[in-house]
Formats: sequence, structure tokens, C-alpha cells
Amino acid sequence: MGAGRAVSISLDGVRDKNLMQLKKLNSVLFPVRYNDKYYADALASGEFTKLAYYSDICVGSIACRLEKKENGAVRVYIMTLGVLAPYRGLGIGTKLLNHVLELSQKQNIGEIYLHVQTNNEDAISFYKKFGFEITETIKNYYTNITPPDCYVVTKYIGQSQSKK
Amino acid sequence: MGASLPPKEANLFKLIVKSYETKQYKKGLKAADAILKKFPDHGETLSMKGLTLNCMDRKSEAYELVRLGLKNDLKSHVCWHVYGLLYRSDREYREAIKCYRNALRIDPDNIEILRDLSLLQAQMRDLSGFVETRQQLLTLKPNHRMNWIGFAVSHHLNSNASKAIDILEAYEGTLEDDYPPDNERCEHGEMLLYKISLLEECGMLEKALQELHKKEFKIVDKLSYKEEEVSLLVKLNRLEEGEKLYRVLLSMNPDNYKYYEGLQRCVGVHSKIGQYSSDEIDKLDTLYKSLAQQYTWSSAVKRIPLDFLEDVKFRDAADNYVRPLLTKGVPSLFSDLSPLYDHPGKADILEKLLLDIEESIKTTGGYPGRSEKEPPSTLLWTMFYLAQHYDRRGLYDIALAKIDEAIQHTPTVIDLYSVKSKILKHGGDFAASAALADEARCMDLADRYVNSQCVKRMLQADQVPLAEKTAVLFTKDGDQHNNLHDMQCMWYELASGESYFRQGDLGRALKKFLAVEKHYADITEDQFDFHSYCLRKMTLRAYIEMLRFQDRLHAHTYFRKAAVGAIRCYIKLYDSPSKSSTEEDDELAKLPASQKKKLRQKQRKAEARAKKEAEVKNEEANAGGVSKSGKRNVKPVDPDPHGEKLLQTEDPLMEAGKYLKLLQKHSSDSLETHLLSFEVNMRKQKILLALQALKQLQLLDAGNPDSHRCLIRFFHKVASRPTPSTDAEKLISGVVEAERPTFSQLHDKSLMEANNVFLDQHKDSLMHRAAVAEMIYCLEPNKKIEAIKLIEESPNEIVSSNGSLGSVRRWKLKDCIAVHKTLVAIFDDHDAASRWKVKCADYFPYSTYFEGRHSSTITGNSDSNQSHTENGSIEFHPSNGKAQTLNALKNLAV
Repeated sequence: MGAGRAVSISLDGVRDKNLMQLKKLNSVLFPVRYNDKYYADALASGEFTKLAYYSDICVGSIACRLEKKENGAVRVYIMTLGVLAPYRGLGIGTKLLNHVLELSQKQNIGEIYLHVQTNNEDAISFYKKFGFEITETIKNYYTNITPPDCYVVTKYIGQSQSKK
Repeated sequence: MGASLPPKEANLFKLIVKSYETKQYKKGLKAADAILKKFPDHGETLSMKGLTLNCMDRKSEAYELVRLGLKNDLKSHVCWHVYGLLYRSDREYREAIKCYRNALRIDPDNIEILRDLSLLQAQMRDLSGFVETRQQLLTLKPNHRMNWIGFAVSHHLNSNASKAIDILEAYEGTLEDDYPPDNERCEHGEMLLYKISLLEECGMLEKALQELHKKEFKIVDKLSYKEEEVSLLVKLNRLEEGEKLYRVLLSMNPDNYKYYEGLQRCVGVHSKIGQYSSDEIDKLDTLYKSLAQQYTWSSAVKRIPLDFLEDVKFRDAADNYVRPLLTKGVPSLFSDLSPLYDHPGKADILEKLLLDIEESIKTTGGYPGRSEKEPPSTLLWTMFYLAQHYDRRGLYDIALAKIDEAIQHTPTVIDLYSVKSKILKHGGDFAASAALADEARCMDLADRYVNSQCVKRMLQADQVPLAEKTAVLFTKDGDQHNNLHDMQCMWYELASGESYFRQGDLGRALKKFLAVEKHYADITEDQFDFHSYCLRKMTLRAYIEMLRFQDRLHAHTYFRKAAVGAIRCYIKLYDSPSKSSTEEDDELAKLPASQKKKLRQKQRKAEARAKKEAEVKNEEANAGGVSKSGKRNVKPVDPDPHGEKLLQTEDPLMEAGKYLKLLQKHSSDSLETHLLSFEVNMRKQKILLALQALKQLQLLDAGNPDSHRCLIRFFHKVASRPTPSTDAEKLISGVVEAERPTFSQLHDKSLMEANNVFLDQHKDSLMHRAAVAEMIYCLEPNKKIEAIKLIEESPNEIVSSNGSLGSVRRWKLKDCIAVHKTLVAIFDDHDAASRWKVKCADYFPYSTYFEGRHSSTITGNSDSNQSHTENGSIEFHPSNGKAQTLNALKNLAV
């Protein structure tokens, strides 16, 4: 195809009609079987949960939960972000994360956070590139994988704006 | 009309007619009652009242009143016309025609009645009557365009095209020179094209072409103009001009295969069966190469050469063809290329080609000989193709391994699961196939196609209630199951009927098969409106095509399947009238005790479930009925939803005869038609009709095992009949005696000898041997052991070998199942049957019927929940490789 090699990557929302795609992805990407609450949260988050399509094939996803803090402000918790192995290194994860970052900014959401297993250096440096920082360490967060500890990785955006 | 009434009532009568036409039935009814108060016996009023009531769903009253009206006024054309209309509304066209004829006897020039009559005649294909009526209409109103056209069309339909041309030309003679006005240009152009097609049909090609050129500026449909022109040029052998025109047409649509075919014809390289000499292949190759440069966007121009090229050239062309499609991800690529598999050499080349591509992408990331990297999906589509390729070649093990590899690569592509489901189906594991199809369905609940495919697989696995529930997901809510019938969803009804038939539920099976038959009656019915519409709109070519299509309607596959299914049901019903489930018991008897118990439990559970569902449904219906009782669109409830009444028919063979007749009329070239005719007539003791079927079978395919069975059975049966006593019987046996020598197989031979000759001719074929064995047993039951041995010793040699990958043997799963059933049902030898089963389980490891080692009955893997593990994709390797790129992220939340 020569010049036509650039493959389009697009994002699509998650609905009950295609929820199975997200489940399929999770079943190969993560060692955890997610419960119904996870999927309910993902659906409830609306635009914050997305599937990524690589020339019409669903290859990755970002799933978030919107949480209300005590002071009434909303923060975003990234439950999962993953791309199928053969399709990594093509900027798909970046595109998914950027989507959530931009959306948060638009909606004046100041805080985005997630948990990362402490040994997952690739992930930690990936998030650092986007301005995330390690804000906390939780011991024995996981029950059946080692190491059981995790970091809380957080990004605060537009703080000055949101505090106005 | 209403002439015998005083003025006030006469006006009221006019009001009835008007109200009827404007559908204000209540108003009409009031007026009618007002007249009848004073003149209770007034025939025409009674008739009109009846007609009005007919439209208000009061059928029986309607017939009563209309008949009473007619009785009171036999000399009224109105009464007869109304009676005709009533019959017409009930689709009783023959009766309606009679009524109209009576009405016309009284009022011969009544245009309305003549028009109504002509429509009925067209519908019933009473063609000479149609011509007559149209002639009368034209004579009465020659200034109406429609009457000219109608008269011409009637002659055309009555196989007198040249007369039709004369009429159209006479009609043109009545037109002004500047005809048509702007708003009639399309209609007039259509008429001209119709006339030219008539000229072509009559073989007046020169004249047709002249006429076409002369009227060019009056023909609006330029594409049809060109297509007609090129067709005439080719027929006139003016090939050079034809070639030029085909090139023009190709520049308009370079993906129309017909244009390419026509072009080939014009340049003198065309073969119906696609076989060419090497010179011709070179010529075609050059032709298509130059065309490909012209029409870069055409896929046809790239695809067609694959049909005629061979060897290395084929390999290169195929390589060029598949690469961009694999890169792009075209799931239909395999179906696109599958016709090439009829050519074994090409299948081998394709296999090698795709394997090379797979290998190259796996090692270098790009196509062979290319440094460019392919996107990751290319490997996926290559494996997807290979899985279908091996499936097609019958190597199910490899096909499954490939598709599993593809699923592991990208588990989100729905087509992968559909193909895996298909492979398992071919392997004979319907339950697992249905489970996979369901998995595919769950991945996109908004996709009707995967839903339908899943329903089909469920029906194949005899999971009818589940299939029904799944199918209903895509029907309008509330309307539920009946909606499938209203939408004429025939594939569903057929598959469901076949499943019921397999399960021995003849009532429900018949119900489904007859539903399909009903759709065909409806389709025939649907043409009615077009008889007037098409003449008015001048879509004459389309109209004629539609009528021709309707004439062949019952030759359609779905109808054939439905009729065959229904006839089978009736035959079975005749053979075991008390609906005794002996066959089921037979099946049960073969199973070991533990499984028997399981099966019984299953059946019991299913019954209980069905009962519960029915109750719930009833309740729902009742509840709905209460709340909606105000609305009037309450559908009549089917009094026999499960076909129990159908089973109570007195004479199942007579019922079968109805559908048999349609098959004989429309599908006389199908072996199955005559097989069924043979079976039905043998049971009816109609020896001569059975003989006729037998002769047809021999004519169509004397080498077919079933034809052979019928031949032997027939003469065996005839020989064992008591000596004829009545004249009729003597006559019959005389005919049979006279006919016997016409069967060359029986020349100077006993039946046993003929049977042996047949065996010698088809020694290697399992199905032929089974037929011969069955006939040995039929002729001489004491040779049972010898007969069974004949089957068991059938050779099952390797047909094609793929080296280390595996090989395909000659026996087909379907045939082996048939043989097993014969061993049980005909030979009644359960030892032989279980020996056969063990043997076949080995050949068909995926078959649930034979309980092969990979089938879901053995592995217990048919549950869709468990099939995840089968996909081998759930396991997780936490030590995600350091070589992985940054996106290899796993952040977990619990």
C-alpha cells in the first residue's frame, strides 16, 4: 500500500451493546477478573471510558471511575488502561490517556489518580511522562500477586484554575 | 345503479357507494339501513351493505347479505360485481372471475368491471381471456394510453410478441410529433425500450437497433439504452462496435462483471466454463493488464485474472491480490477466493503463498521480499485466512489451531469466533459451534448478522427454545415470535422445522414448513397490485420480469426445502401414525444406562421448562389483553400453535401429494423430487406413478445410490405382488412388464445380478456400497452378515495429503452418519452399529454424533463459559517482558 500505510486509530464509547469487547480485553490484559461494579462504574463514567480501535479492530481501552470527594469536587480514578500486546508501541495508550486528560481539563476536574504495582517500572515511567507523580505507597494492596504493594500515582491539573 | 329506487333512496344508495370508496363504512352502513327500512328486499342495497360489512371484519354476515342481495336481484350487474369483489377480497380468484363474467353478461360495456376482470385474469394467467378483456377495454376507450399498453402487454404475455409490437406502433401513430411532454418523458422512454426489447425477442435485431438509434433522444434511461445497444450489436456479430461500447460501459462502472464478460466475447476470448488455451490465457492476461492500468480502483479487474491464470502467473497475481487486502483487513477475503478452490492446483498454490506470508511476517514483520513493516493486524488476517483455508480442505485440527492462534493474537475480533464456530460445525460438533457463535454474538449485541448466525447454529444443535429467545432479541418488542413469521423470516422457519423434525416433533416441524409454503403463496399474491400499477407507471420491462419471476417462484430453494420437509413429515406420519416415539426409543436403547438416565432427565427438565414458559407467556398475553383490550388490532390467536391438529390428518399421503405436485411442476430437475414421489407412490400402491418417478430418477442420475435403491426395490416389490386378478391390475403389470426392458441395468439379469454390477461399478464409494448392501438384505434377508461386511469393508483411503500437517480421507461425516442410521434402522444390528461408531469416532474426532474424542460431549466443553479456557487466552504472564514498549501497562484496581 506504500504511502497509505498510516493506519487510523479511533476511540469509541462503551455501551451495554459492546461491553463484551471491554471484558475480552480485560480477560487477556489483566490477571484479575473484574466484578460487576467495575463495569457499572465504567459505563457510568460516560466519555471517560473508551475503547481504542486500530483500523476497526478493538485493541485497547481505558476505564475510569468518577469519584466525589468530601468537598464535592470530582476526581477521576483510572481503573484500567491497556493495549493488546501486538499493538503496543503505536501510540494507542498515549491517545487513550490524553483523551482522559483533555476531557478532565475541559470539565475542570483537578485530580486524576491510579494504582500501580510497585515493580511495574514501565508503567511508572509512562505516567511520569504525562506529569503524574507518586503520591503514596500502600502496603499489601494486592492479595494474590507479588509484590503486593502499590503506588498511588496522581496528576493534578490546572490547580490554580480550579481553586479560583 | 339503484335505479329501481325513488329519488331519495337513490341518492342514499349513491352515498353508500361513495362511503365505500372513501372507506367511511359506518356512514355507508347507516344509509343502507335507511333504505332497507323502506325496501327490505332491495338486492343492490343488501349487496352493498354486505360489501361494507366485509370491510368491517364481519365476514359471515357479509357473505349472507351479498348472497341474499343477489338472490333478490339476479339481473343486477351491481350484485354480481359485489359478489366478485367479495371473492376477490378472500383471494378466491376463480370464483371472482365467474362473478365478473356474469356481471358483464348483463352490462357488457362496464369499464370498471372489465378492468377488474383483466387484473384477475393477469393474476391467474388466464392469458387468452386477458387478451380478450384488454381488447374490449381498448375498443371502448381508445383514447386512454393505458388501454393501448395493456392490450400490447396482454399479447406479449400470450406469446405473441410481434402482435404486441404492432399494437405499440399503432399507438405511437396516434401520438403527435412533439410527444412526449416533459412530464411524460420517462414513461415514454420506458415504452420505447420495452418495444425494442420485444423486437429483440422476436429476432428482429436490425430493426431493433435502427429503432433504438432513431429514438435515442426520446429515451431517458441512458444506461439501459447502452446496454440494449451493446446486446444487439453482439447478437448482430458487430463485435468491433460492441467492444468499443463495452469499454464505454466499463468506464462508467469498472466493477460490473457482465461488462468484462461481454468485452471478452467481443475480442473473441470467452468460454462459459472458464477453460482457455495457453494462447488465450496470454491474450486475456494482456487485456486485463491494460484494463487494470485504466481502472485502478476496480477490484473486479484484479480479481477476474485469478480465474483464468495458472501456475506461476496465478501465484504472482494472487500474491499481488491478497497483500493489500490482508493489510487492510478484509474479512471476506476467503469467501472472495473460495471459488478458486474447485481447482485443486490453485488451492495448493494459495496455501503455499499464505504460509510464506505468515512465515515472513512472523520473522521479519513484513511481506516476503519487502523491507517495509506490516501493521500488526496483517498477521491476524493471514492466520484468519489460513484457518478458513484448512477448514475448506477438511483439516479441522490445523484449522482450529490456526484460529486459536489468531484469537490469542487479537481476542476482540468477532469474525474469529464466527469462523471457529463454523469449523466446529464442519467437524460435527454442533453444540460447541453454537456456544462459539453465542460468544461472537455477545461481543456485539447490536449486530443482527452475528445474532442470526448464532440462532442458526443453535437450531443446528437442536436448541430450539434458546434459539427462539435469541432470535426474538431482534424483533419488534412486544410482538415477539410471530414477528418472525410476519417478516417472512424463512431461513429461521426452515432451520427450526428441520430441528423439530430431527427431534421427532412432527407437529411443530410441519407447522414451520407449512409457514414457509404460506409465504410463497403470499408472494404470489403480492403481485396483484402491480398489474394495474405497472401499466399506469409504464415500468413495463420490470413488470414482465416480475411476472416471469413469479412464474418460476416455486422453484426457489427455500420453497423446495419447505416442501421436501413437509412431505418427509407426512411420510413419517404415515409410517408411524400413532405418533409412537419408537424411533426415539430405538435411539435410547443404544445408549448405556447412565446416559439414558441423563437424557431422560434432560428431557423431563426441558418439558418442565417449556411448560413454565408457556404459562408465563399465557399470563403475559392475558395481562396484555386486558390492558390493551380497548385497541382493536388484537391479532387472532393461532388455534393450533404446535401443529397438533396437523398431525390428526386422515390421509397424510394425500397432504404430501399437494406439495409433491408443486415440486414436480417446478423442481423436476431435482433428484429429491422424484425420490419423494417414489416413496409416496410406493406407499399409496400407485405402481405406475412410482414407475414414472423411477424413470425420472434413472434419467437424471442412474449412478446415484438412491436411484439404484429405488430401481431394485421397485422391481422386487412388483415381483412379490400377488398375481393380478382385476383388469386394472393386469393392465398395470402389463405396463411394468413392457417397461422393464427399458432399464438397461436389468437386461437379462436378475435383481441380485444387477445389484452386483452396480457394486462393481462403484466399488470404492461408501454410499454406493451401503446401497448395495441394503439391497442385498432386502432381496435375500439371510445374507445380512455378508451385506454388513460389505459396508464395513469399504475403503477409506486418503484423498489428499498434506505431509506432516495431516490428511483428508474419502469418507464424509454426513455419509457415515447415514450409514450408522442404516445399520440401526434397516439392519437392526446394534453390534455392527457400535463397531461403526467406534471406527468413525476415530475418523471424526470432533463429531458429537460419534462421540469423537474432541467433541463437546466428551470434553464437556460446549458451555460458552468454559470456552474461554479453550481460547487459551486467560492466563496471564506477570513478568511482562522488558523488551515490551512503554504501553505495556498494567495498573490494577481491586
